[in-house]
Amino acid sequence: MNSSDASNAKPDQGEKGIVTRRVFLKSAGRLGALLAVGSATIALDAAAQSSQAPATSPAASPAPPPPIPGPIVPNAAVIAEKDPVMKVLTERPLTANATAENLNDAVTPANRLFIRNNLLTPDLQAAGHTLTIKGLVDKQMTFTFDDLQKTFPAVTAQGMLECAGSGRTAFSPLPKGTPWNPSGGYGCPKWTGARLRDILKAAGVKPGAVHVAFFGADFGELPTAKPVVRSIPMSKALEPNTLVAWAINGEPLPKVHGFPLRMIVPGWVGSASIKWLVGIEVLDAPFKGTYMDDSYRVPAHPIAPGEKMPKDAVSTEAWPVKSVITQPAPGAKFKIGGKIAIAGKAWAGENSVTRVEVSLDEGVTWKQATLAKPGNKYAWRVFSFSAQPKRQGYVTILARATDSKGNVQPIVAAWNPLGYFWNGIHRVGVTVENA
Amino acid sequence: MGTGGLLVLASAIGQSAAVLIDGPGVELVRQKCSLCHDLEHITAIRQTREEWADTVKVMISRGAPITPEDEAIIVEYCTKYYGK
Repeated sequence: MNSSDASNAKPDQGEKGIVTRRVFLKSAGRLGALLAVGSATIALDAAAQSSQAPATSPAASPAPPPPIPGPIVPNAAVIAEKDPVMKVLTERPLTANATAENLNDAVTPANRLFIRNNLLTPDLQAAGHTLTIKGLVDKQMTFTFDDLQKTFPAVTAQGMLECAGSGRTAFSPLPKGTPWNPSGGYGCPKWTGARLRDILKAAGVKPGAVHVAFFGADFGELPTAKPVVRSIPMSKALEPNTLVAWAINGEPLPKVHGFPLRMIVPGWVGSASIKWLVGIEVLDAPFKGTYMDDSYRVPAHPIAPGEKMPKDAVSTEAWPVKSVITQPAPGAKFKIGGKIAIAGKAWAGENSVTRVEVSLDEGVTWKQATLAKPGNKYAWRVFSFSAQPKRQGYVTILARATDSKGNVQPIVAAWNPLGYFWNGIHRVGVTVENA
Repeated sequence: MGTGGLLVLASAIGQSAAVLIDGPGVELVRQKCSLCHDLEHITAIRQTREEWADTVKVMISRGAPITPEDEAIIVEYCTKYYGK
């Protein structure tokens, strides 16, 4: 079930997985019957399938704890807790998002936060949940969910969470992967949790430690499915906004968003913010595994659209500068002589947003938008602009942000084979009518 | 469950009822690939033979139960019907 023992995955290892699959099949079948469509049907039994040894099993890679198959939350139950504005993009794995015009809140409500699962949604309980810190530490430690909250000071901070593939469908040619809308797949809720650095300090980081890996308790439909594991450099692990979080906007995490514990690595690609956290391992090298080495990578240097991934690809980390227009909604109608209230959000990974400009003439002229007071380091920045339409017809509103390092949002993001880091200028078309 | 959620999910399922182009290997592709994911992950994109071969290898490294014989058939099918 992980990079070191998957090569000898045996049918008996799959027993629990099969029980889990039946739970899933039952719910999928119910859902299918309910909706009178059969797309959720899975005709095969995992036990009947020959299991193939995985291609790689890097020796340097530590053994993550095997995921413990258990009950899952069916997709229908996950979606029932979300706002109806959420659009499901794929069901297996479950991905869903709200588009920009539905993300106008300064703090993203939990029920509008995007969903990006790689595997299933485990139905975990807080009672009995534990988090273990091991690897290059002076002492291995295990905390219960309650102990963790009692032992470490709680920190609350707003922080950007954005899937690496957010905006993917804006790329041409279309790369493979979750078909995120040109503007969707991000959010900025308020997170509460313990600082990872406080936890690492308690365990004592040994010399030679360079990366910290996070292990989730999620599992797939097949017992052979590899767990989702991601590691981040020590510098980001020690950053005071990197949290082991248990609350979103003051409430317990919804099950699909990692209940009871998850990582929050703000400003970085969402894959670093592992959900359903059960293990933290301090390593002397980046973790080796399919979610590190096969995906979440971009070319080190720009390549032509459609080219294959070069050998010098690097791991995806912080998001580049980006902005979105959350108001007005596409297709909105206005009158000449009236006002168009334009609003949006801008963020910049490890940097801060210093300027947002708005254009109503396809980028011929730009005017500076008003920036709201900055929040904490990884919070997005709210911008607003009041436009007065002077002619009738179709108008495209554009916004572009600049960050503290002088980086300006591009017209089109650098194409890459897996479609990550779309930060091209967002455009919203509206119509102006005669008064 | 709320009506809104049901509608959203219903439309999503309708949308995810991907139909693979009929051809040699289609049953194997449907069977193996849909063990873990929607078939839109195939039908939505166009890739070269090399890219499809890489994609299938990544799926195997994620635990897909695909034998070398199956792998060849899947790559052939995807290249023929979803190639570029």
